[in-house]
Amino acid sequence: MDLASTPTLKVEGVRKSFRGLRVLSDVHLELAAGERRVLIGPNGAGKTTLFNIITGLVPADSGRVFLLGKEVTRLPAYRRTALGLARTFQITALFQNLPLWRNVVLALLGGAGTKFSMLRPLSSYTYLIQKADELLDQWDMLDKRNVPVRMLSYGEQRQVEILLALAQHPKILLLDEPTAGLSPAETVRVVKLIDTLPRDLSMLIIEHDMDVAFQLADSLSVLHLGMMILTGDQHTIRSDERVRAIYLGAIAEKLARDA
Amino acid sequence: MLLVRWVFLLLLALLVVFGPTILPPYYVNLATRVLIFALFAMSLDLLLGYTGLWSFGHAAFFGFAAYGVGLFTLRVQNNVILAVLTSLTATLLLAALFGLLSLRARGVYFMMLTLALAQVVWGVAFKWRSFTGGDDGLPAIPRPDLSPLPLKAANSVDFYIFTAVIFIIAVSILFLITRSPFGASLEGIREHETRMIVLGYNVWLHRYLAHLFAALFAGVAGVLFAYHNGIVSPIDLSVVRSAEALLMVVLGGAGTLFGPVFGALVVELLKHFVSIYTERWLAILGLIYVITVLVAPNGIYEAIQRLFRFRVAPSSNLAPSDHRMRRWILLLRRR
Repeated sequence: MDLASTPTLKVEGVRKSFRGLRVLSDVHLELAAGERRVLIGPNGAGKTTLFNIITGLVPADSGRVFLLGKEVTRLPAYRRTALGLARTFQITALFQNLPLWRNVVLALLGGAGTKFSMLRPLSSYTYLIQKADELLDQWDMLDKRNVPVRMLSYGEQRQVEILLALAQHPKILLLDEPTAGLSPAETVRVVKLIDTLPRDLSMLIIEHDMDVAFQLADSLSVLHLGMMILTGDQHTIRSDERVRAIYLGAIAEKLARDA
Repeated sequence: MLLVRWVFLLLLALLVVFGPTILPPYYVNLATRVLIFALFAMSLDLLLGYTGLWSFGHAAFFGFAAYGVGLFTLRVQNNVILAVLTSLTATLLLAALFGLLSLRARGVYFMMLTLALAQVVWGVAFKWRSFTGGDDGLPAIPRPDLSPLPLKAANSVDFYIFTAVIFIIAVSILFLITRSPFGASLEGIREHETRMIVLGYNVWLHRYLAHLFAALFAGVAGVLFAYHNGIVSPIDLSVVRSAEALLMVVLGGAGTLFGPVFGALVVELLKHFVSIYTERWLAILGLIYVITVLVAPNGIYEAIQRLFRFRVAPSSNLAPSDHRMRRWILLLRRR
């Protein structure tokens, strides 16, 4: 098998129902090394459920998931991280009452062999703390290192969300609506930040903001009612009738509801 | 600076070990009791404050270990080392089993499971009269023979010193655990379980280990209690004991290692002094609890820390609950 052509992430025939409600039906997806794929689709299309299945937080009813050519369908979520998978959450998932540096150290520790160490104080692991400070410095947040995360602004919290996911140098990064709820200025900042991440990092990004989606994506996939209906480049997606119908349809319905 | 800290800690340890020995015997016994329950409450805090697991049945391990020592001493052989080892091993096995059952659930369901499992142990102790003594309990457990040590356990001052030394050793271990990477991971689990899983932590295993440690230290407290009290009865594994420990933790400050010590101090002192004057001491305890939650929602320990801090943090850096605290501090300062 040619290693370079092995997809970093492969989802094969994944199905998922919640109590009879079909959320995903026969979803296929392949992500090439270094590819940046944006996953779009209306609310309830099953995007976050797909993320949960890829990360192992939710088991699929059927179908298989591969990371870097290795099947992980039955691997518990915490062991997928060690293979190079990382994700962020749509609803900010940080350690709210812990200081910022501690959030980063916990992220670093997750990938280290010392997380069960009990008899040495955390403060003596200077290399971890230095590494955390370096990361915070790179992200211009070093001055806030001792601030509990709950006191950071929402925009800053969204950045920390991405920072934690990157701390272990993943090979595949899943971003669940990284710009949700951000102001236009903050959105620009976060998008720039994502854009400047290393090119060898494969990314799967859920994004509702079309400007952001087209700016970040090498390619896009459209998920609708649990079905992957189209994958292609910007041009293909923009000019596809079905995508227009789904989005304009959804917008038209929304307008009708709001009126 | 480091030296100053060690000297301070050493003096503090000496104060804890020898300070109360100058008191009359009644108060020495009270101090022993406070330390035993402080250790019990601290062990619960490892679950509740650090890991975010609200156990309502922690007395199961306290009482089980106490019964273990009592039964071994009375029915098998009066040998401290064997009795303690057997009892703590059995407690750990019980915790290993209970953990498998209860840690499948979260939140309220975890509370209910821990409560139910503890009630099973209580039921056995209560009903198995021929073995456990039923609701009469196990009376006349002799004080241990501490012979290699220059201590006579029958003497309340000597037994206090013994208890205090065990207490300090246990607290040091708990201190190390809570400050270690493992302890940090427990706090992470308390704050956000899913994030921890995605970061690569086997959350279940971390919780399970925390549960075992908590049970072990509750067991140590239970063993000391059995020897100190001389009698173990079903109440020592009942929901009453569990609730007392919960109260001590919340009163003192969950998630602070030393908070529960203050909680234990307040609860035990109240029990002994207020109950002299009124039978309604539980009502007064409840009142103190309500006031604490209103004034210092993070517990007594943090309130004391804040009072002694020279500078009050600027209000912009405070959480809503801290604002209340700040108002009170400023009010007290004005005097």
